[in-house]
Amino acid sequence: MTRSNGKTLLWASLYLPHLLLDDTNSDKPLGIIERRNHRQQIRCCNPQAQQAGIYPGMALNSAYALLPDLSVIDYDPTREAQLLSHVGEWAMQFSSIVSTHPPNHVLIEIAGSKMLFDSFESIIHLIEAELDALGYSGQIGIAPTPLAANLLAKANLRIGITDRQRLSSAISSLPVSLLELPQDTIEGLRRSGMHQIGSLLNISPASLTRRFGCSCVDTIDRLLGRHPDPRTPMRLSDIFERECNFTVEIEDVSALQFATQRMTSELSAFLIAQDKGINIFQLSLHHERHQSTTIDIRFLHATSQSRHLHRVLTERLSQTELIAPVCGLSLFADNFSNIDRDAADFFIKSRQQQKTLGEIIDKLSSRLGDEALYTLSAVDDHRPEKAWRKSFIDEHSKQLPQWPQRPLWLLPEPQPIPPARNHSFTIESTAERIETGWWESDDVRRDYFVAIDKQGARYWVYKDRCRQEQWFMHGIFA
Amino acid sequence: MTLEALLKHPALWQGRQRQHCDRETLPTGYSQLDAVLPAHGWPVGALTEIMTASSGIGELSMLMPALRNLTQKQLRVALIAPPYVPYAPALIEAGLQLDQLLVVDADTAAGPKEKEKNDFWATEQLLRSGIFSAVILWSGRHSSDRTQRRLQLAAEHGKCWAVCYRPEHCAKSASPAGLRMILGQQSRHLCVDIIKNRGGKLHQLTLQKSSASNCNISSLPQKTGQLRPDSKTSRSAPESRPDH
Repeated sequence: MTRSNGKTLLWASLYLPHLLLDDTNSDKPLGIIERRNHRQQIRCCNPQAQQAGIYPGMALNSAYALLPDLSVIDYDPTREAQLLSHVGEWAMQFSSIVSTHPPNHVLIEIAGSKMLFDSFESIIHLIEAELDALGYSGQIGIAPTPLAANLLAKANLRIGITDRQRLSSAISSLPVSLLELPQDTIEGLRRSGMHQIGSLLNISPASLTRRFGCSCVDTIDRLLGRHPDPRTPMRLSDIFERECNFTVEIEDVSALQFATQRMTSELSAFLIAQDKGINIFQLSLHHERHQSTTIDIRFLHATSQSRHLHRVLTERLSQTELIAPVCGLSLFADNFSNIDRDAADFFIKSRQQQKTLGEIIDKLSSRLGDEALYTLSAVDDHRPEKAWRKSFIDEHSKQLPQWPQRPLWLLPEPQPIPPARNHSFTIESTAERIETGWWESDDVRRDYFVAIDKQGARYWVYKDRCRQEQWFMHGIFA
Repeated sequence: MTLEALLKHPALWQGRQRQHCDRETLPTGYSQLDAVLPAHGWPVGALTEIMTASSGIGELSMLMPALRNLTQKQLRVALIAPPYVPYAPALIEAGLQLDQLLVVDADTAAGPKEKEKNDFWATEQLLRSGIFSAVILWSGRHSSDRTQRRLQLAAEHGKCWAVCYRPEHCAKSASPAGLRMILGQQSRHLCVDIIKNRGGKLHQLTLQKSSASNCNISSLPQKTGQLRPDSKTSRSAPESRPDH
């Protein structure tokens, strides 16, 4: 199989057999059940249930007899397809050509990504590590055709085949049950004594078709690359939306960690695939009998880093008080922006500084509140209390002409000095008269002095000429 | 690990000759003070504790030369839980670049104990981040040996100059800080009583206010008199000062 420009494609197939089980993340015995041959039976179960002796294909009644407190969920093919497409979107951070192969495979074209990631080994290690962080269990296989990659992934051989000529010898010893064929065809092959794929390859296509129908030959032709097997690449949507429902109601925010970790990892992969960053997204906590709680999660600089996204989200969640137990979570993002990469960005040091400054500010403000962090700037106003303001971080203010001597500490409000308290208090400067603001309601008519008390502490005091010459303290020369 | 590498390890104490020779220094702006400090300036990667009985004696302007140096080199400085409003015009006058200055002042609604816990947390985060060159905290009653140890470790980790203002009575209790000093006032000069000086000797000195300082008394027109402008008001004094 070749591209139009003549380059050989190479597929990495992710085999995800336990999507629905991984989605629940239950630490109690859990099974997924389906109806087959007029009876309820276990489709798959988690390791806790397996330890108790439950196996796929077991009748539900027998399973309950073994383990009365086994919890079960019905097999939901739509949810499984949805999860598969989420993994597909997540995989688009590794390659531009990703395709899902229902029900359990995601195909990633990696020949085009080899240049970017140095070698196939590094891509595979990266995919495996990231998949693990996402919380899904999966196996990976590499081959020049999609079906062969699926086969190798399912067999979990951990070999990669890049050359189509070597394909037939590599797969000949694998059991026929791994082939993607109808169940009765596989049964028929087994009855005819063909247990390994190799024996199937030796029979002429004509006799195979006569015995087992054309699907068998077609599969083998696509498997070995004799017939083309085109795949439609996935496209990313314009919005990012994830939903997660819990089997039990959750009363402690820290228990949401698993779900939020996966959502932020997927969001990060989505952003990387689009080469975008995010400044704000919404997290909604759904309750059984209450309206959902929606939290806006904001970032100083547009970011796509999963670690940063998750840390800020966790911090905000831990500050949130639950009004009711949580039965579901959803995350919504539709406003993406370009990650700021100005010229200085390419110098590693400054890029890291910039990045971590945004990270640390987000971390602090998510715990202390947005108003708790600010920088200062001077304002061109003669009224001392209006000659400064809080400004946003990263807002560049111009430096203003200098004032006469000013104290480092300004009292939030001028404090009247009661005449009764009779310390000796010395004035050590000439008066600075400030008369301004008559055009607004807060008219200022004051004479400012630097005063020093017995202990030697220096204060900025003024005499209010509007209010019977009352003395006020306004600052401290710290 | 080679001997060379071992000798460069910041946690290894080697006596006076070699110590701090590789470290960057942060001059205090006062030659007398630089002379007695083993780093020839404020200790980077350690906690400096400053204890004062009252505000208004120049306890903050003492740091201004160093802070001016840092901000003008585009290095970041954070002020955490300042007791009053850090007044922008005065900071500009002292030569600071305000866009390098971050103020963290969390809400007091949660109660003083909770607020101070948050202040310590924020300080530790900023120190550890390694992107702030100086972090200055005004702590209140809830500072303890444990909180100071955490700050000292965070300062070491982030290679940052950490300053913590504490009430004067804290001077009596032990602290893991690298440098501790009590500030006082004597005939209009700032007295510095160094009660702990890791790698150096203890000193008592009086700082002559240099031109770098914000509170430049000598250049002011001296007009001494009682605070009694005319007969209408009696002599006045400040109401009890807010605790610091």
